[in-house]
Amino acid sequence: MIQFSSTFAELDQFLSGATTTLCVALLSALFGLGVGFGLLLLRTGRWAPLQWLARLYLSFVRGTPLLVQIFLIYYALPGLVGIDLPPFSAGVIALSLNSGAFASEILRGGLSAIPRTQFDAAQALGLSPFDEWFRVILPQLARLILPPMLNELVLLVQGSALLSVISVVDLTRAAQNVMNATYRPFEALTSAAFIYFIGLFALSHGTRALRRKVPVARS
Amino acid sequence: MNFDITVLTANWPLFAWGLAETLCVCLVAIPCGFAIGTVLTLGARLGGGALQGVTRVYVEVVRNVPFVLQVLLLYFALPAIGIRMGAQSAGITALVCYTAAYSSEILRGALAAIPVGQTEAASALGLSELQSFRHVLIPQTRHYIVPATGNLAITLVKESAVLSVISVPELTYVSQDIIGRTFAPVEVFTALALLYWTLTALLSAAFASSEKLR
Repeated sequence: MIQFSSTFAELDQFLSGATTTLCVALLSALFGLGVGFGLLLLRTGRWAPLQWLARLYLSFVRGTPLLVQIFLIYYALPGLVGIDLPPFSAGVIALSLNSGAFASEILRGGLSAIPRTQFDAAQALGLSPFDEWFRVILPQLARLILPPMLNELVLLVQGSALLSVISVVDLTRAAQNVMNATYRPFEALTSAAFIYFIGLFALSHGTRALRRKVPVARS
Repeated sequence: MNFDITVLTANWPLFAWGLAETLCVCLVAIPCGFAIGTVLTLGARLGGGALQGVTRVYVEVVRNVPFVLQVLLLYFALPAIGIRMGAQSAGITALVCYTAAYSSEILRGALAAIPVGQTEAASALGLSELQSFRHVLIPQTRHYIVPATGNLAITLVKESAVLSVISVPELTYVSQDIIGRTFAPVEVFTALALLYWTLTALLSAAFASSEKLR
């Protein structure tokens, strides 16, 4: 017999779980962007060993399961360097490091789409390097990377569900808690799936609409 | 800290079992998933309206619900409506559903990229719809499908790690089991990551060389 009443009574657990999921994903996207910038600097820098290191990093992140990366940060890092991280921080760090690899690709793509003439024009106008980057290049870059970064956010929300395994009480873990409290696995898990679906469907279709709407400067 | 390699050498048969299970699960799930994905796409194109709608909904649901949750749903939620599966069957089913959705998207995208003129030309030559798929459209999608499929296969090998959550005895689960007895997370998780890294590198090299062969 399928009966949602006892599951809906735990609505606040689902909502706080969803909030945690959203927080984790947004924080990781933000930090991931930072990691991505760092990686891009290493990759485009002149020092070959650093380029090599960045490439190794990208290959590792792409070549191993996210779940294993999360385990490495949460369970292996304490033994390796003696830092004991709480689940939430470990989770955000793991997701940021993972997302950074993809963000660096997004940034690289975005930068290569900005016409060379924009740099030349900024220099011809005598702008300082600070003004050149912050008032000419980055505003254009932000527009270019917004759609793929929203796409990355979708992947991060999905990835954050794995943090339930290291006991971060996100939406997935909240659903498991409700399931254990109400003995109604079907209702609890489908409710969580429904919430994920609505949020992610809206986000990914919003991104697609945005891709068509946002005009991009061309030389 | 010291890296105790004996933990790994003493437990290598377990790693081997886990690796075998990972490969086994993927080798069953990937071909089945591709077959179902192909049927879904062709069905949607040939069957029109309702069938197209059903396929669309299926693909969107699989793409917009986290994979762990899909695995948990199949294992914990389906028994409530009378469908009972063991961990391994539930895990394989989850991977099959995932592969089917993504491969049907790959094929749909590839077919959508072919000019309508090709389909029209095929029907003008008197080919049936299935014949036109088989002899005209599918051959033209290969340059797109082969690399995309390679990437999907690599993604699936990585996603199969998630099956450890419902205790499918694959590589990740076995590693956690070893840690439970040896208390050596650093050594075991490092080895685990290296194993997956090697596996996906080999796969991507294999797909790259198969692309060159054509």
